Amino acid sequence: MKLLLFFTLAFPNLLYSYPKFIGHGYNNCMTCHYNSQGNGPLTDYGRALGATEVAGKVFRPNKTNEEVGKSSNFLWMNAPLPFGIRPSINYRGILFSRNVGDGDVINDMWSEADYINMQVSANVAIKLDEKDKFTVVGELSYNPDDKSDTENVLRSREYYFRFMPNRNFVGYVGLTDKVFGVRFENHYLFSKSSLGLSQDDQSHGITGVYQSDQFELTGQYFIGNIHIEGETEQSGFSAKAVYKPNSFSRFGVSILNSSSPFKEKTYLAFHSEYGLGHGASVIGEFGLTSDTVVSSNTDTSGRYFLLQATLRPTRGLYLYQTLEYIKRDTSSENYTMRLGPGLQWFVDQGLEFRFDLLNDRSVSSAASGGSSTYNDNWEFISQVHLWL
Amino acid sequence: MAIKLFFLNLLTICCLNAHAFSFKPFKEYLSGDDSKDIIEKIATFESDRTISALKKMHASKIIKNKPDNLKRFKGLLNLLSEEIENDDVLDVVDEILTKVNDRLDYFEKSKSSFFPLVTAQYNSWQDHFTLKNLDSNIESRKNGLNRGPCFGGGAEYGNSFYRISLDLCLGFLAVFSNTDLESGVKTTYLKTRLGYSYFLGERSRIGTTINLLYRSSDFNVPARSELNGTTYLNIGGSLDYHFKLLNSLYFFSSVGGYISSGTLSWNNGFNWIF
Repeated sequence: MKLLLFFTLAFPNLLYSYPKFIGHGYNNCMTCHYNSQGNGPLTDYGRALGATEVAGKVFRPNKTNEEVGKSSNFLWMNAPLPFGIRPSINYRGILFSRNVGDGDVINDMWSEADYINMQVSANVAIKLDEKDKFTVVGELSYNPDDKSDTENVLRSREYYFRFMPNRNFVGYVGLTDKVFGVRFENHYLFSKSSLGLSQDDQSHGITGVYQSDQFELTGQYFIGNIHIEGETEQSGFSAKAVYKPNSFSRFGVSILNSSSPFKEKTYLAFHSEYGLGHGASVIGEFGLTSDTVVSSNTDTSGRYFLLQATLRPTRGLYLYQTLEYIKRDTSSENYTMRLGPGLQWFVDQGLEFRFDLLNDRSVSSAASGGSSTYNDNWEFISQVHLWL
Repeated sequence: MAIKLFFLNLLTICCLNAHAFSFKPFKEYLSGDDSKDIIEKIATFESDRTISALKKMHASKIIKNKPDNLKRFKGLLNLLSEEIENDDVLDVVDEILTKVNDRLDYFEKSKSSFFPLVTAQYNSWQDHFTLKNLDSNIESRKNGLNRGPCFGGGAEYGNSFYRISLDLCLGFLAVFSNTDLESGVKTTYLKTRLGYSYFLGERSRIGTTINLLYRSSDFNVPARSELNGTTYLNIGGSLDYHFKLLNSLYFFSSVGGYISSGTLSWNNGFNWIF
């Protein structure tokens, strides 16, 4: 269990999306990503937007926004590659420190830490026509230190064919993340890791999206990851409906129902993403879960809650705080809360640092069959992300 | 007196350099005369002279540092933009008008006031107590995790750039302590916060707070033992993020610590600011 927790925490955002950018007034993920759910390779516009609005200009203070936007293409080229080919390369490394609050915090942070080369990945999006009606997206990553799956240091977490007949409809076929809730960049969040929506939980399936200025309706049918042998993969469907009253708001509901020969899942979530301008945002998600073990026909109901609030003191720098709550079994009195102050710094186009302190606080009682607890668990996660 | 001397000075400069030009109509308007023929007179002046006069008036401290004078000057500019047809003058009027509006906006935002507030928050923190075995006289320190909601009120003082706040809340509903001896111990607490916050945007602020917290818990004392720390007074600090969700509704999230606590204190909640 501890090993599982470690790898969940140590590979937090292999496929990344940043819902906090609704604080800049972007309420549509397809503004910047090929994937309408907001992760994976960036479009040309997304790259330019990242360079001119999100990232700082620490290494190029004298360049104008127009200049940094122009050179935001692959390898800082001044124009995208021809034939609709849009490659990108990512590196992510992480310094993961556990139990930093137990004793000498500063010393523990380094002496008890592991540095992990999390991922080197290559992405490519190939636009098959000029109007972006047909696009192929693929990702292949080398994960040298991913000890959770030593046989496969090479893997793909995303590849799909995208069909967009008009601006209101998009369809995907291939391997993608499951559609459910707010797609945060950190997979260690309870709303991801506890629901089987983590960094290795992609599934093959077909996804359809209808979108207008005010609505976004997504339906997905998935069959599990066909590259994984055995019968543990879940198949089922999920749906998400989002209302967007203005460019700074998204209010939605998600449902997921899936099963394997061993387990059945039904999840429901209500979520809101609320931008406040100047890069500030407040994002919340509340969910109800029901997991049934097929062999014993035992059902466990749970609930979770998440609130992430973000400030932007200056261009490129985001300070945020994530408050989480999870009660895995509503018939028990036990629950866990977590506060995660964090800092995300887009130093310049192509370089990002992240620092996350996770302070877990479990509350259990003897009446629930556990012992009374009061000690906190701590993790400190430092990340570097380079991209070309 | 100062404003009169300023206009006298301008009048002298203008009279020495122009034939038809007179600063008199400008002065009359700024002094409160709204009659229409003032603008008609100004419209007859050479455009260069009018532009020069407007720029000098805009640059003068007696106008730009006094909101009432600036408002009057804005009124003059608005009238000129309606009545004058010369494009050169209109361009300058528009340019100055933008700056005047920005300046007036700054004055408006700089006005400091008191803002009463009510607060509902959730606090989670750790402190400790001492348990003494009366047989062996050995003392052991025990940690306690406390958490629960808190309701109260206070006030903020400040403007659109900064706020100083002071509030007091009482935690009395569903407040519990957990220790390694027992769980769910009924607890009450009183918390006061003195904070300073700085606006990063119109709807977001970052700040720091000094927190003073008094806790009282109904611990069960084991047999042949003495417990010291049923009540505990603690002081600490926190880093605060504030978010204006609606016109009066603010969400805040704070993280910090208390002296000798050994772990983080959490404070999240809502303020309704009147």
